[in-house]
Amino acid sequence: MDDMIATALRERAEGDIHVERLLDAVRTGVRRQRRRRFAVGFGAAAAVVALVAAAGVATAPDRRPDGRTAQPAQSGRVPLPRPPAVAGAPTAADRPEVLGSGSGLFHLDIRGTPIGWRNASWASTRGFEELRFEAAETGGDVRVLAARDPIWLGELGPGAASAAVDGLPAETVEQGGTHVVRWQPRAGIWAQVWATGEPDSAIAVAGKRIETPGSTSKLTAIALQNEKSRNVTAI
Amino acid sequence: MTFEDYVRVRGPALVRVARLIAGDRHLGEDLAQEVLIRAYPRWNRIVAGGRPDVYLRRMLVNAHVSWRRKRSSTEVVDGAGRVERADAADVGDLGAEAAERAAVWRLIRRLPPKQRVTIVLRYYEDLDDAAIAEILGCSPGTVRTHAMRALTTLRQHVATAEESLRWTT
Repeated sequence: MDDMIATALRERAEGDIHVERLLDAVRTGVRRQRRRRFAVGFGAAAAVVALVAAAGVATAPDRRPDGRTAQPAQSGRVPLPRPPAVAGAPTAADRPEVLGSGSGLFHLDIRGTPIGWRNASWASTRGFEELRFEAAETGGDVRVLAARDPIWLGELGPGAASAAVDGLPAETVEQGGTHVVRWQPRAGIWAQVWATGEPDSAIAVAGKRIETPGSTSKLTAIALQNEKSRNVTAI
Repeated sequence: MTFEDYVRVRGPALVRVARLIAGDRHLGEDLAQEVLIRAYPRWNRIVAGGRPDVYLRRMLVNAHVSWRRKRSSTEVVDGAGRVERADAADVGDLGAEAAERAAVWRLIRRLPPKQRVTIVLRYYEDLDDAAIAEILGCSPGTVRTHAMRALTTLRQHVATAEESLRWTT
């Protein structure tokens, strides 16, 4: 019986396998997968971050000891509380030099995501800004970074692959279960998104330009990060 | 080892196992391809784990189970009525032993997924229960249970088929 089973299986399994053809098919599939994740036209965006002129503060925000502005926890799809907008302040899309200018203004925002967010915090330091929040449904954290110099974003490390965000060239890499995507939304600004979690529950992230009356296109970025270091690709 | 090197060296073995797990040559090739596409972005991490063969076979099993859930399964074992009976023409065309092996294969295809995977990994890949358990994500004891049930099913039907063969001839 055992021999019969082994022989029956061998007969069914054997046969020519064209390895180069298999490799080509895999490469094509990988490229197709990347295009699906990043192409804006396919509606893959789940969250959009706009570099906006909002996030100025008329009154002093609650600040955490680390200098971050704390936001109240919320769950589900409740709009994320944001620092109040400052009318007339230039956007980073208009003037990259305002990003991380230390003026007490924040220039990162998130819009249009279908996932619930909570516990967001903004941070700004010279030439660099960061927005962090927690994905309400998965408990993972999300991290969006924007900088005037890519040195603030750290090394991508080996194995970076090319991709596209909003039609712009980007790079993506996996680092110990954290997935990172980096691109340059406009001259003078670099954006980066971190995400960790289960690959199958990855949150697609894409960039989308937001046109508002009277302003130039705003820079957009999407970031997801899971501080629990579970694998999640989201970018 | 780079991803490409792995596919060139170990890709064929993965495709063959996939053919058996899927129960169909073309489905198996599609399954192996899908697994490799999913593995590519995680390749550094997979290799860092030290055992890409195990990891990819686990992905293969999970992907196959997922596929089966998405499509309605027609692989139903409904007892003696589905036993493949070799009639005289089959026996004449294939030879008795080949016909038996064909019948065994059809029976293996009809096993529940985890029983089939256990049989494939044990008899084709020659893995022990501990290795199979790691791929299936269960205990070695559960693997032995899967094997016992699969072999019981196969023995019952093969015995019946043998009788039928002998009977028809």
